[in-house]
Amino acid sequence: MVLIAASASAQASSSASVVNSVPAFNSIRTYDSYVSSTNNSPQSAFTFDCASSSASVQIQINATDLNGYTDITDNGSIQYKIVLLDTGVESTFARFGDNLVSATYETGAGTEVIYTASFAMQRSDPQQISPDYYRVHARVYDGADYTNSTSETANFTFSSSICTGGGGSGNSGSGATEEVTVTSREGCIEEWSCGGWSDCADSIQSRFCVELNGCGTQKRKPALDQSCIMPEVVPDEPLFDILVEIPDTYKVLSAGDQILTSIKLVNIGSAGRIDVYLDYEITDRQGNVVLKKRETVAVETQASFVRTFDLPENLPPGNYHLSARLTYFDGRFAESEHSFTIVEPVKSSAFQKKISYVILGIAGLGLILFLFAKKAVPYMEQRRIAARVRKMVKKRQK
Amino acid sequence: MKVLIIIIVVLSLPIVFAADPTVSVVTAPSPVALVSGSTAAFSCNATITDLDGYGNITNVNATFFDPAEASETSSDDNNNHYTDSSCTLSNSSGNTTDAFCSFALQYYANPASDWECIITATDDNGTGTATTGQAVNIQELKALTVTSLAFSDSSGGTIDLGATSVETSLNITNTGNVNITVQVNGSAMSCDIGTLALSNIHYNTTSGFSYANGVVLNESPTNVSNFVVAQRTSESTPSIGSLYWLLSMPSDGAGGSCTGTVSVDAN
Repeated sequence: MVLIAASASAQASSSASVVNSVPAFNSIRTYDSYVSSTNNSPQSAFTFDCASSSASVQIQINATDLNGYTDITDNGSIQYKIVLLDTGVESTFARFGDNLVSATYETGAGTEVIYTASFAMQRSDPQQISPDYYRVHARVYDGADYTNSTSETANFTFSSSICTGGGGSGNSGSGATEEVTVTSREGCIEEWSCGGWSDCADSIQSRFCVELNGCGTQKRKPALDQSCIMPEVVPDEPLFDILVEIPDTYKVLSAGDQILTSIKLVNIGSAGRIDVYLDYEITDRQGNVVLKKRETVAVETQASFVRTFDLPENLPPGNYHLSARLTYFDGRFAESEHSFTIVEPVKSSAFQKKISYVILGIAGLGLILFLFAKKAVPYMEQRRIAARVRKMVKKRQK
Repeated sequence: MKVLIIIIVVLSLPIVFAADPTVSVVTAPSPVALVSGSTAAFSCNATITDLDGYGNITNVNATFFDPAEASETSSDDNNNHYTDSSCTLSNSSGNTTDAFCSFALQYYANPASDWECIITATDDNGTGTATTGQAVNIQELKALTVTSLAFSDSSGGTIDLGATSVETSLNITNTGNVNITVQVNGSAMSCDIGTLALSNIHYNTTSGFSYANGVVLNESPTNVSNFVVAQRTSESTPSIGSLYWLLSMPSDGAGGSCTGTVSVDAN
């Protein structure tokens, strides 16, 4: 009789490794009021908000990793930075700096993930309404590979109106802040969600808040900014001052003239070569910008140089300011300005023209006499000697 | 009177004569359970009696064989015939000694209920032989081992999303003493990111199969048709059967290293 032993089984471990898929961007967008990944509309023009003393640029970065979005969230990151875009050429936005900053994970599903970030634009930031003056770059990393945004970028502009009613900026003049009328839903209780405070800049910290219930009111809106103590200047860091002077001979000019200024940059902080931005601006008394230029200068301890600017041909007479702002190191800046006057160009009268002709005539006559005298004098001298010789000959004959 | 005394003296002397050893009934344990992929110790025992005294015994040997395929005199074969050419003797005293004959039975020794053990004792005069009083039953053993299953691309590395691996084999070694058929099942492969469904894993009994023609690995055990891994018969080569596998990587949703299990059961 054959007895059957227990049936047998064995387990084989199965294994495989998947090729890492390089993450890529789907989109990078900017918003002024980013609510969620499904409830928002992109915006590319940002205006300084007098009430909040900043303009919050909300950034949404949408990326894909075919291995799954957790390859980014678990193993990598999405970072971004804002750069200046001057006539198509990118340069460092000094207040943001060159370093990439981590964005915050918002949501992910399948292979797609959304990160968000916000940056508070300040009045002191370079402003230009058109064309776009800022660009958002990003980098998505999955722990093995990364992709820098190239074609997928977001450009935006930043400008500010003049705040009225003592809005805290100290500016005055014409212009008005934009008013938005929002209809309140009766009985709606506002619920606000706020992000973290930004870094202390100009003794102000800002944050971004959204109303979650869509009430359309701002009765319970939390403060969006607060005063803060600026971090002490580290002795090792540079500290710049700038002095702009206009020589007396250039203080009164006419439209179309060339104005000359002497610029002196002094680093009273630590020594060391550092690149600084110089933004020149000529404004009229109403604050209208009539000329704007930017350049980068490398300074170690101090630098003195001369700059000339061609004034527009159609510049009306009046007083103008030429200001130069030096921006360096995390957006810190120094500023100096000088004024000059534009006058009507001098026109010649009819009398002045006549006098000019007379003077020219006398001068011509004098020239003729001079040339005549130059030829006549030797001839007369010759004749006078000949007469004296004849007289002496006659005396001897006698 | 003298003659009578001589007769009495002669009759009173020990009677000395030559005798063959005798072997008592051989005993052996039964049934015998073999050990998967290894050897199992087995022994036959008997008591040897030699009237010439146990010291006259020169050798005790034993054969253990499957009479359906071999005889006592067959050469050794791990399937059916084993020999212990020199059994161990113990408890020796006077005319008796206990013989202990041992064998290392391979896992592929035939399963049969009538194996016999024959012990033969030899002394200076001749031999004595005895067979097990009761046949020995060697149990059927169904056992197997499998190798691991590693999927890779053609260069032996990671597999692209949306690509199919190169064919890889899963070797099934019969470590028992009967022919086996198998059934397979598995679990989804868990990756660092995502999972690979079982439906992405196909197998076939023939090498060179196309992914579309493979059998989908299932969670529930499924008989593998036309696939038998025979009992081992070679002294030098184990009996191995191979199943062939392909993995189709999904186009997205998986990343990193993936691991899972494939279970193979002998029917």
